[in-house]
Amino acid sequence: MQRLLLARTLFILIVGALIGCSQDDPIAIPEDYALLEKKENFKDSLYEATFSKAYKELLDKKEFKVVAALLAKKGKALDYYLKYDSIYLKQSVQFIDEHNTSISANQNKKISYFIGSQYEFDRNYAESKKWLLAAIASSENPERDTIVGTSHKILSSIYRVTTDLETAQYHAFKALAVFEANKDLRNMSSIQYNICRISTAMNDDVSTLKSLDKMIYYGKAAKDTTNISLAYLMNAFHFMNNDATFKNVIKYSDSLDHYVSSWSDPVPTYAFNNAVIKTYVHLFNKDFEAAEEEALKADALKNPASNNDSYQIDNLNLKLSFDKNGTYDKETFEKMIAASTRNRDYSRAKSVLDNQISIEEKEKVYDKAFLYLKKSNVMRDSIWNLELKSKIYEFEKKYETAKKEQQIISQENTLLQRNSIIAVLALGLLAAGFGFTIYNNLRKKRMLEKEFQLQENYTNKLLENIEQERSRIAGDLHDSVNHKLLLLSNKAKQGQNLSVDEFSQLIAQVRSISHNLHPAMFEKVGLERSIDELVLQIMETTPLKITTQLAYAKELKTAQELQIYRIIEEALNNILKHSKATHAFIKLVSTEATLEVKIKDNGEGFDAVKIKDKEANFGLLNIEQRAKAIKGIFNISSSKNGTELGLTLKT
Amino acid sequence: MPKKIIIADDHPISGKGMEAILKSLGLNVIGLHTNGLRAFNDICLQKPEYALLDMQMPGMSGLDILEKIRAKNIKTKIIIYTMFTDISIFKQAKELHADGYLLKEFATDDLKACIRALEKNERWYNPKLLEKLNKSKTAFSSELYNELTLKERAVLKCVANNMSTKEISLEQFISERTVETHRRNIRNKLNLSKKNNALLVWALENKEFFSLMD
Repeated sequence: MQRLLLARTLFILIVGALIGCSQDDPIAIPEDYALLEKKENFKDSLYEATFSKAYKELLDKKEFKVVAALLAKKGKALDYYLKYDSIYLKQSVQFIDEHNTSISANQNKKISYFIGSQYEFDRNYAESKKWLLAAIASSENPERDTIVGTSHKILSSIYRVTTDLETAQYHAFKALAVFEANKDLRNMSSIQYNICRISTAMNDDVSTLKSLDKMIYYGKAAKDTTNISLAYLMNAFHFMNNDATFKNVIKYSDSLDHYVSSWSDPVPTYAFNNAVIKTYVHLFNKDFEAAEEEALKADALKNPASNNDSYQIDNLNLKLSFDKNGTYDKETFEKMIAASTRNRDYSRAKSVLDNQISIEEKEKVYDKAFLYLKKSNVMRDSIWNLELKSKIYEFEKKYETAKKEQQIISQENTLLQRNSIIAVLALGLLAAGFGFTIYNNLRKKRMLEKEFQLQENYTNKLLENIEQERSRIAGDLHDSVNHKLLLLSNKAKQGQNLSVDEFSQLIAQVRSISHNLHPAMFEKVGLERSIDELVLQIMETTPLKITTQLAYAKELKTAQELQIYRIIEEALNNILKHSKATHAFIKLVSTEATLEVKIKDNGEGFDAVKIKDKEANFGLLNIEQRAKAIKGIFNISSSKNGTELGLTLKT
Repeated sequence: MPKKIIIADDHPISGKGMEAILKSLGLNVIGLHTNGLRAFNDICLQKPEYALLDMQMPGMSGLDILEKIRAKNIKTKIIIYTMFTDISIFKQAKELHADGYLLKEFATDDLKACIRALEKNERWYNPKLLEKLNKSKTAFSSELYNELTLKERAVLKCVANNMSTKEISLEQFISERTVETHRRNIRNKLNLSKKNNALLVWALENKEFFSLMD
């Protein structure tokens, strides 16, 4: 019954898809019948009368194109409101049969599609298929035509219902391709529903969940509450059958609840199913009071015309009373068993029967227990049958693949028999392939070893560098700062005058030492300004001229920013030390999804490949390692006209 | 009535020093804190006329306090004083509308000048930093260059290579009039004077810069 309910909601989705995409025909509807212009007027009481009057009158006047436009308008309205209209169907079929040559190809296509859609409502699948295929065939641009996409979608669900899963899958993917080409997010989401149902039928849980994820993802992108809710609903039902801990059911039930309650005008089925799922969750938690309350709510929300809804409610009440009192209400019990056989909902019937058997057994009513046991066995057989079917399907698939493989092997065999030279050659090739694999493996191993060696060298170098850096700082502190302080202290001891200048020098020295260690107030000042400062400082103390282009939207963490700062610092250091450049350019620009860093100079360049292998080149290795640490893509190119370092980061 | 001031400095001795100078200037020091957060709370509570804030402190930095005080719309005038001579930090403070910005090295003189300016409702920043800031602006501006179109950049490169209008028109397959139009547009975009060789001088001077940028 779940299935039928969901099939119904599927139509809502198809219709939703159609609203956005069918192009309006330029043919004007006569003013007298302006009411027919908008699909929203379909609910107007005058709509039907106006339509039949217009249809007759215009047909008599032989205004075929206008009639076709009217039919297309009504078809759209019918699709939107999920209505089946046998008169409309008859009119359209007759009209196309007689006048298809006097209207445009586009009109033919549209009306064919609506006929197909109407036949599908009527479950006349053979006719529906015929018309939908005709609609697809008459499209001029089948790769991007939304009508083609939606036709494939309906075909997919028809084939699924008639359990031709492979053809269903084929059509679903065709539809998906059309929607993807159009970047039609709403339909991309709703087609996932078909794929999900097909995967479920194939017992492919992984694909089922994957397609539901996609459905939610695209649904959210298209802001399509209907699709998102449907996906949550499917998820909840899926896990209700597959997850004994109910953890996922609760999760999806909550999400569904959130969406349905924030929906200003929810489709009643969702509100109903939401209540049903919540009841089951409450039952699982043994919170009978809340469950009863939710069940009452569900009962109020059910669609009285729908057998499924009633069946669902009966089931719910039955389980509720059993969980609470340990017994079944006789009347509902019998009704339920009959209904579940009709709906092929065997596993539920079996569990109810099994419960009843143990009750009867306890009360020593063995004849009844025996009766129910028999029924339960029938159910078990039916379940087994269904399982067997899907097993058979699976084996069939495996068999097909095996057969294909077998064919390939046997072909190879005949070839070998026919020509022993080729066999020898093939063997030789095999041996060569084998040798090549071994060689390749060895090479890979060697490469890995080399990389490891490089890594080790880097670490050693790094440690060495830290040591050097420390001794440099110690030297700076000892030689200049400490020395000057001693001088000052001696002067003070001897009572000499101390000049402000001496102190100023000292302060400047300490400032420069600490600045070299860490950019001041980096976190507060930000990456851009710190780079500015660095550039300013270098320009003050060296002849290198630097220009910058900085447009950084603060999007990285401070630690990552600091890595970028260090990379730029190291690059500038390299330029100063090795390049003999007069000018340098730094670019740091955020675009939509990436951050681009570029450091260029006009120096004499170097051989990028050679230098990379050299252990001595610590600076470049350092930049590379830092780039790796922030998952950036680092590249370097150098010629005699200069060097360019590039770093790209996904943000 | 003497104006009230709160001091925040994580070095108590330096804070005491500032307190003495401020008292000699006739100000009423109503709070001396070594923790940024406490200083901030005190400023919010007492709303003094002035606050003298060190840059680096535990709790909150001087810039943080400045930002929060501005956001809360408290009228207290904020003076930042620091060891850092970095333009980057100075710019940040200027952008947050600090009323005063002093360097610790010159604290005695700076503080007097600053308080005098603040009493006249003027802002006061250390002149050395202002000078440094101005100097930093004169470098080649990539923003202006980025406004040029690709064709204009090509023409500019030709100009930098000392080519005449005629030569440029031949190389770029455009008429001489168009070259002139491009020249005029480039001059306007780069804010150069109208003299004909202004562009040439600029191009030769900055050739190395913009040839790196494409």
